[in-house]
Amino acid sequence: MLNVVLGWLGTVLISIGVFFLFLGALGIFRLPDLFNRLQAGTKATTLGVVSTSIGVGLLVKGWLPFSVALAVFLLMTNPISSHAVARASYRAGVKPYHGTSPDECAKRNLDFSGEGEEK
Amino acid sequence: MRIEIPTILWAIWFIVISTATILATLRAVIGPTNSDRVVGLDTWTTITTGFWVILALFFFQFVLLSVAMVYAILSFLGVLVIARYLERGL
Amino acid sequence: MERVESSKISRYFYAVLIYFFLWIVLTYPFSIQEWEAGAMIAFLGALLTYKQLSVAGVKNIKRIGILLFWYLPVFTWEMVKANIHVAGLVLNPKMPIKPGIVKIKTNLKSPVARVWLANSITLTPGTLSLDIEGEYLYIHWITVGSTDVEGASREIAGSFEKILEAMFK
Repeated sequence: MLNVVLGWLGTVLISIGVFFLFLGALGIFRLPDLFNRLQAGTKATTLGVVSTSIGVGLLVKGWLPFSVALAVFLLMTNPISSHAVARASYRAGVKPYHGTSPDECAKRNLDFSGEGEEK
Repeated sequence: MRIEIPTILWAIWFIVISTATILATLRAVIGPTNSDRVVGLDTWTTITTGFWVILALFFFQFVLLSVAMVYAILSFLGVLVIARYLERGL
Repeated sequence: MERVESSKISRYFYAVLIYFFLWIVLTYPFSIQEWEAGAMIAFLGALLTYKQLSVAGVKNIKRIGILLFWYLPVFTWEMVKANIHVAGLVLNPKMPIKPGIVKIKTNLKSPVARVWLANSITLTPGTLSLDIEGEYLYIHWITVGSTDVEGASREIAGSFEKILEAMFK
């Protein structure tokens, strides 16, 4: 009985995860500029892959510890890599979408003027 | 210990994940700047990690979960290195 | 930064615990031989790297408790909300976005706590941490609310800052 319930729960979780992985890719494809793309990509794909791996762990007896470890690892590293990409590309001179209304980041003076610009 | 997942559900999962991979690849190909390509690559690797996990369930091999873990670690390091390159060159 | 270092024994013991736990999880099908090898490698590896792993030593275990029982439920709920928000945004044909970059101020002192705050902000609705400069964080916000520093800080970081203050005090 418990196995059946866990099995269906895992199947539903995998389906949700696959759906959110797709949404992340669609967001990457549709949104207008780099930072919005990063937002959609990071959030949706992180939830997608975490939900998928926990679902797989629920489906098969004994895989749960490893899949939870995988989920925790992804949950901790995915925001870091997206932050690194966002910061690097802002410093390399990627301009935000023209409708970006307050841009506090542009007001400060960067101390490495022009070092990271694309040649 | 393994409940039967209907074939149609497997087909839907694989088709949706393949479409997602194609969309991310398109963004990595047509992205206007290099940073957009990196974003596409980052999303692509995350989607592929999810795909390894589903493949581990499909073939019922525990090893493929370890493959997913190693893939996640390597893609994280790769994206960090590329971000560093974007910021100040190699 | 101004966190007090614990004694070396405490830090070493904490490193052994963490490495042994990781070893057990990563070599999953449990067997006693794996555990013996893991114990040896944990003691040796902790001898080499305990200085880099932690400053507070065994006190970190209390932090892990707070992390599991207070931070994790709040965080999960925020993350689900964030994803519903993103889904509504992406699936809407008109894409009602109004992006902006705002500046928020944090009260957290230690660098590790700031890293946690930035990670949490990235995974909560509509915000992406863009840069850190001292105690100010620059946040890309997909639908801008309030644009001044105090309002934006309260709106974005408010719920997590309390938890992280309790965690890293």
